[in-house]
Amino acid sequence: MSLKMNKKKGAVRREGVISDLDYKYPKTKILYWAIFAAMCVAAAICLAPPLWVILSSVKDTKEFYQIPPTLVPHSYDFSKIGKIWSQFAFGKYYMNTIFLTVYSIAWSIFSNGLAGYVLSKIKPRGSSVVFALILASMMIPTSVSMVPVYKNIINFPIGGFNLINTFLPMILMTGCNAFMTIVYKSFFDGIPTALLEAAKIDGCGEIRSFAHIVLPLSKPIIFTAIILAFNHAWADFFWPNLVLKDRSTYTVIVEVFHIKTSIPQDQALMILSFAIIPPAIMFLIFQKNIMQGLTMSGIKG
Amino acid sequence: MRAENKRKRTIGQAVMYWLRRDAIGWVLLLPSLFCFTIFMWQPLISGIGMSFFDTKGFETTEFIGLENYVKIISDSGFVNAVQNTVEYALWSIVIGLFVPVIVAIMLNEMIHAKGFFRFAVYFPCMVPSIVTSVMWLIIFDPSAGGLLNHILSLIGLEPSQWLQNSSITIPLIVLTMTWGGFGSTTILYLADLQGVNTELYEAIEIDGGGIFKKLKYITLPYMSGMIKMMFIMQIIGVFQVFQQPLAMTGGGPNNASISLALVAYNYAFSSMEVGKSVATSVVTGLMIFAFTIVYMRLKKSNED
Amino acid sequence: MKKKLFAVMCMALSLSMLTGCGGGTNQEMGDEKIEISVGYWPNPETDAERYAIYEGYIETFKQKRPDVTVIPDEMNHSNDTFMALAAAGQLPNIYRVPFTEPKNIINAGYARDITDIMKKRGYDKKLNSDLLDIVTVDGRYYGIPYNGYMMGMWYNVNLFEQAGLVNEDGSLKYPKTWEEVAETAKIITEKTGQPGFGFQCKDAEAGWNFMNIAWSYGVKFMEMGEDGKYTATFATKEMADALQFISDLKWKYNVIPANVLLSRGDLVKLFATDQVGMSICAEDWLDSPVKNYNMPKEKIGTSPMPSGPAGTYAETGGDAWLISAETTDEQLEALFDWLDVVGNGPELSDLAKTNIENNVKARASDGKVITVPAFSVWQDEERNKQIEEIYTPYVNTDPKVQVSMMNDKVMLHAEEPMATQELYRVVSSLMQEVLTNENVDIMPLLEEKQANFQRDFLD
Repeated sequence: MSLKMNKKKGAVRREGVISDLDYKYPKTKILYWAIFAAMCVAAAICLAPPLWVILSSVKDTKEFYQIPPTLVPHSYDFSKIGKIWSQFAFGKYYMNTIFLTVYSIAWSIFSNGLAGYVLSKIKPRGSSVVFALILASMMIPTSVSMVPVYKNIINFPIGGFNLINTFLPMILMTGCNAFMTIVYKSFFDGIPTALLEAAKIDGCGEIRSFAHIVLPLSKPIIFTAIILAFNHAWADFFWPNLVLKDRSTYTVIVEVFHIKTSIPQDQALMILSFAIIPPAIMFLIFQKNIMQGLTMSGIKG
Repeated sequence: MRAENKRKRTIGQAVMYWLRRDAIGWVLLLPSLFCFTIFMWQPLISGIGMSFFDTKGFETTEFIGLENYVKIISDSGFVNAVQNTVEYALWSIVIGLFVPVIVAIMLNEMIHAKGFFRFAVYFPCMVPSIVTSVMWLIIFDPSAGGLLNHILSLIGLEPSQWLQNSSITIPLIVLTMTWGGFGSTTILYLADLQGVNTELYEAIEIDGGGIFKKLKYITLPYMSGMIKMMFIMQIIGVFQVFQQPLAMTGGGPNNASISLALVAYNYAFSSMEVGKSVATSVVTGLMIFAFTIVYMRLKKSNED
Repeated sequence: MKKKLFAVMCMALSLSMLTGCGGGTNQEMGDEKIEISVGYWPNPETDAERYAIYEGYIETFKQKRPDVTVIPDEMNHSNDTFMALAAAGQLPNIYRVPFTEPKNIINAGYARDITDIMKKRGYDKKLNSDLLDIVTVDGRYYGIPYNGYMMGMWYNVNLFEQAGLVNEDGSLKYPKTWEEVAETAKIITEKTGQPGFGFQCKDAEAGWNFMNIAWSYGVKFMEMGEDGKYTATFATKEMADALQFISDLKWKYNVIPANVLLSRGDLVKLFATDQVGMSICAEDWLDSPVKNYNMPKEKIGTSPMPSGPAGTYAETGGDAWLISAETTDEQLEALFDWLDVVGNGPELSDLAKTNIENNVKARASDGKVITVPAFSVWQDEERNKQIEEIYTPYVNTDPKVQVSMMNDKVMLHAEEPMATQELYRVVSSLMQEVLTNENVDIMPLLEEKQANFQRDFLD
């Protein structure tokens, strides 16, 4: 159905290798639907097992852990969901998590994105050393730096602040994501320098050419980065657990880990599913934006 | 006079150039440098320094040179851990590298249910690890009632011991890592694929080329930069694997799945021998470094 | 767009900086007032009743020490985070660790020497000396064992009933020797289709559990030579027999779960969900099946450890309080006053008795299993009797099914003296090998592991 509509509008075109022309051949049609079938299988492998585990948490505990598992619950109790929801006051933890997430995303794009851009396009003298350092720092397992990082959080090198019970450490840490910096750099490497040179001839400075040319072109990578950063901020447990000690600052996942050992395991799993609903919804919303970002970007023409 | 003027101008130009390029560049780098210094470089350096010291908790007591290194390398478990780590890396190339590339290309072809597929592929990245661990327990349960064993019996095959069979423990752990992580790599490839210039496809079509020609001459070469980068990232990542074996097998059976990073973890967090732990991590880092250098060399000579 | 982004970031920074400052000054204020932070505090949402009791502790403590402020801290020991907390001085003044941990923590310098105050207040005389060894390094004390338990067996009554292993008076036909364990397991597996026996086989804790079996088969793990140097001595026939025993359970009788790489959590889960008939357990594990898996507590049977060729040995486990290295002398005095008030001191004041009783009462009304502790960290008869009197009215188990884990045959065995955690890890990997490899030749494997253990940790 959607295909027909699209054709009428003429707005959506195929983004892949198979063009409308190719698609006219029956052989290609078969290939397309074979790929479609393969994607269905892949989707099933990705979705079915975890969803089944989460949905099974309406079973009673004994049945939940039974091997071989029952596909259709013998015993179920949907009132559990409402009961658990009202038993634990998750509201404030959600607010904390949202606060942390928003700033983490903003800082992550700002810091990593700019770094990727500078390392790819401006390349000030000496920046190649920075890039080498960023790459090298990925190579040492993090267990080396964990404790010194924590010491820096407790006694911040600038001003000597104690950042315990603040969100600042987690926010700032998203700004030194070596992986994302490198991904940004390689994305910007793909943007033709000629485009920027042209802007410079038109009298644009570095900052203006970044804002007017690079940013619009970078929508796909930025939206992807938002999703990754969102997911990380939402699910990260290690640092929030060490840094947020006051109950009023807990994030959802910290609270979940504090209570999960002292409640029945099926309930713990259900609570965890509360924790993944927001990221899932975010993803569904954002992927539309990716699509929009793409059709607007000028890189293709 | 003239010459001086000229020199002044060039100095002026140089300053201007410096201001326009270098200074602005470094200013824009500042936020990132700030974070990297405080949360990555300074801690790493202060950590690495400890590998040359005798340690009491996280305090250094006495400079002992390379003694920690000698100790960890002569430990009876070291060679096994190195072998396992290399095995993790090899399997992650076989399993982990190609899955996201293939899925991204296939997904990019879809015009039906594309949003759904994208969601499905990324979904495992959002699933909390505790749900995942319950899930793999059911899937890999070695009894006749385990999910995979049940499937095997349906097609008339013998049940397997899965994670308990020490010869397939590592590939199975890599498989679960791939399941949990390939979604984010796939959406990065997808973002990258949006940059392919469709005119190039049309050019191939005009020359009478088919789908596979387009794939071979346009798509894959376009992706190759990203693939090479992901390859390096993946190797760097998998050399540091410890969470998954720690959670799934505890490094067993009989150390069959223990990795160097897990050895380092055990030194630091269970026996509290920080010096040895850091030395193990540094050795891991050196291995990754050596691998990267060799890879870069090969890449260069290939490209030349 | 960039401008807006920048403005947002500036706001974020300044906002969070403000809260950061707030946190910083707060801590430096309490100079004239003594503050003590106490770890292992109950969670107000999932453990509301005990949380209320602890709030009550604070009230009663104020009567004794009005100059001290108690700061609750939910810190519970975990390998993942301990090092970071300790190295950064973020441990509470008093924190709880299981008996397997103190040696490493003390050697790492994260616990304070408390020998003097322990002698002054009489802890050294009244605490069980084997348990004191756990917190002793170079003759100095660094902690207070406060919660001791012994290992025994537990039984899933549902499966015992289905297998017809219940006497007419309702008591269980439980095994007295390891051979009987194999027999009983066979009956359970035959009658119910579920594994009759299960044990941990993952991480160091598995090796720690296996000690119970190994000692009762007569294994001596190490010997001290005249020069004070230890020699590993476990590549013996006794150890091979003990390993053969578990190997037979798997390969000959097939009465243990198909999944052998079980952690304690996995084992408890199988037991609580009627998928394992019996296993080694510790006294204080009983709460978990009830609380986490809704298993009725009447359906858990217990008994002493079975005997082997060399006798009946039970390991002791438990928890100790350690004091963080940064704790000052004033704080230390206050902490020991706190221990007196909550009933962890050598003498039980009336206040302490009331507090203990309130705690037991709260746990009972929360559905927890209450038994008179079979094993105490105190070797003071008088004190143990007082505790028994407090517990008795609240005991909610059935003595026919829940047989005490202690009797006169059971010998308590202290931990091995050297490289204990590392030894457990070696034993654990030995268990994994015999349970995943049917045709393994045990003796050569033992000799290899012994040689490696000697070289890596004892020489």
